[in-house]
Amino acid sequence: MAKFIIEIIHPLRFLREYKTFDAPLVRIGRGYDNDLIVADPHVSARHLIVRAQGEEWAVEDISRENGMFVPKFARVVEQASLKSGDELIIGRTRLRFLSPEHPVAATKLLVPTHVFLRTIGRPVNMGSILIVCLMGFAAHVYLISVEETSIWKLAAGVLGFVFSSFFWAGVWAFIGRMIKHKTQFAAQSSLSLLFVAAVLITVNISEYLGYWLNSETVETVIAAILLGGLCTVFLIGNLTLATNVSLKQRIAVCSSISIGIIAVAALLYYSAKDEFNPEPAYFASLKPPVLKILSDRSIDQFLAETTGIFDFPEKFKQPAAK
Amino acid sequence: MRKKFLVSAGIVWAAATLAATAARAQSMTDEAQRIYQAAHRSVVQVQVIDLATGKKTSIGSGFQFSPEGDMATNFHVVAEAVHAPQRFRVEYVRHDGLIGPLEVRGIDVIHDLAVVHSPEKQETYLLLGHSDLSKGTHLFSMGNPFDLGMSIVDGIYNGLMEDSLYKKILFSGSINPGMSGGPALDKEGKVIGINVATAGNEVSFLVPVEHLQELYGSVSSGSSAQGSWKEIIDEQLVTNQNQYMRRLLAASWNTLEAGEARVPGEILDVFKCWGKSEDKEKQLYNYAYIQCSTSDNIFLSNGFSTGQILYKYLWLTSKGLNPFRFYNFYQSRFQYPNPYENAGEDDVTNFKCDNNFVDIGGRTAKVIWCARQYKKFPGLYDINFSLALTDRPQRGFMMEVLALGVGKTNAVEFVRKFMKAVQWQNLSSK
Repeated sequence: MAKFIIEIIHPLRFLREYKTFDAPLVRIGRGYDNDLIVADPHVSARHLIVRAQGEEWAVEDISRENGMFVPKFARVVEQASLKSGDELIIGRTRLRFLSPEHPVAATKLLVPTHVFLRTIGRPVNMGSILIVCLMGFAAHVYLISVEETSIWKLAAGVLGFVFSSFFWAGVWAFIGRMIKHKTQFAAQSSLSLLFVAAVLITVNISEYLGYWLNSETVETVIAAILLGGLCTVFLIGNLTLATNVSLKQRIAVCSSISIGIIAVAALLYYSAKDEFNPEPAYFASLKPPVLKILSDRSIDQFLAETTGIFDFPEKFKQPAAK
Repeated sequence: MRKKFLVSAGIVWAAATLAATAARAQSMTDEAQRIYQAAHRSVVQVQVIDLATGKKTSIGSGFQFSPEGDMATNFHVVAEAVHAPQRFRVEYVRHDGLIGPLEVRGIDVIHDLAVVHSPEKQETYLLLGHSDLSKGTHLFSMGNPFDLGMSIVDGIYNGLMEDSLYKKILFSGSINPGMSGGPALDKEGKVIGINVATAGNEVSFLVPVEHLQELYGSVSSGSSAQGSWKEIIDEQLVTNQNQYMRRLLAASWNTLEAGEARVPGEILDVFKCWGKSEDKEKQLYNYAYIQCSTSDNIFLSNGFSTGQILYKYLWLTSKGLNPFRFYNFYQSRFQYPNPYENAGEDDVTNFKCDNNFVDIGGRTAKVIWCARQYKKFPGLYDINFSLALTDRPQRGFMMEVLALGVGKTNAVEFVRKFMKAVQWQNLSSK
């Protein structure tokens, strides 16, 4: 295996330069008399000697001063035996050794992104999504206000949603730029805008369901399930655009993040809640009369069904004598 | 020029007032002197001593009214010693500085009275009179305000309070903290009431002496001395709420108008209603607000009182808000219950609530119904009943009913009667 490739890897993991060799012995260093000249002041003039030995390479630090770090062993060594795909660091430079027969994992990079993500990534589509979402946000801000709303107040409310979407998109665009060398800001923004819009719709749906079914628990559970699902789906979208992680891993990572967020929120809620509340904590949701699922109870029915509010745990009935 | 006039007018007015006051004060002082001389040996300061520190934690006044050494004071003066006798003891301090122990014999938490007993008999005692005097009668109240020294205060009898289930005498004189439990005497020196509370500015309240006679009767016949104090208080509260709830449920309630709703008004003559409405140009809604209550409050311990009934109505109309915006506003008004400051964590449980859509007189309303239990008196509850009309897109009606310290059956019947009493005008329009 005399033929091989040495790649110089950038600290941010992209390929800076590579060189092919067809020799039993290769010298690496900063000096001009090397086969691979590394422009790094922390590398010795004559630093390494690489000998091809069958399927492997025997690498030796001949400088005896600046050392050679092998990530595989996680320590500085003087001699090492490397396989195709292994890396080593001299000075501040990371080198990767590859044989021409090295299996190429990078083919998955070429798998096309889902048609939905490609569609929302087109600037014209992103523009349309932005306009529709702006209208939706404006309607939302208008409907929750109970005072005269000027156009400026509306705009301020809408911008809050838009900026938070763009901020989220920006974070993922940066991650994409780092990992995949593709920013895809348009697709990320469309995704974030759609996410915020979906959250607003979801919250409203769960509020209505809770109101109609007279149960705060129903509202909370539905909201938690729907929001958790939404969060997972949209995070998968963000990850698909920005990274090369496999679908299985994406699903695992995103659902655990969503569940984690919900768990932390629940934990914070219950730990911040006072044990004693002097006021009745009632479920005071009111919605305009547009639809009615259940029929009204009569006064006597209602009072007969709600006697449970007078049942308290036995421990309060006989306080311990002091 | 104008300023000068005002100043001189002020001086003239002040001089005239002073002259009148001086003339009245002359005759009053003589009478007060006579009463004080006659009564001060029978009036004592009552102190509750914390056993851990040996210092007094609360003070009040009291007076001897029987030759056997029985004294009267307010329940709230000795409440700590009643609730935790192992941590407090009660003492009296006589006019000559002599200190002696007191034992609680009987209590009446509803009228805030206590009968205490001193083993050493005192040489004098006050005679109990009658409280049915005519308005304008001069009275003299005695007690030890702020631990400053035994004092006598003059004032005028102004009949019984109108807005109360437990009638107290309205006394136009200055009763101050520390005078609680002291006697109020007529000019013959007979006790006609017991100092109990003040609203400031010479508006003070006395417990009619008849309640003391009643309590003393049951103490001396031995009929009230069964069970622990907790059981006695429990029984008094339960009996009392049964009595007034029976009155409330038996009465035919008059109604008042709140927007398009006809609702219970001053359901007994002791309830007083107050109203307020608003129609501001900038606001996109109008509202009318009515609140009715009695001014009753039964003291149980520091931070724990009961006995109040309160109900309020809010009628809202939209002025250009579409149904969605109107209901957001409506919901924000519905979310905050009346604050409950009458009890703490040691006294009551958390509220338990249920809610549903209920047909109220032909219209749909969201009804929320909550109760919490008294930990020491498990037969009694504080209740909160809230209702919001939900079948009109741009009209809202809210009702909230609070009753403190009521039994379960009474609470349910009271709320049932309330819901059934609500009627609507133009029922057909939606």
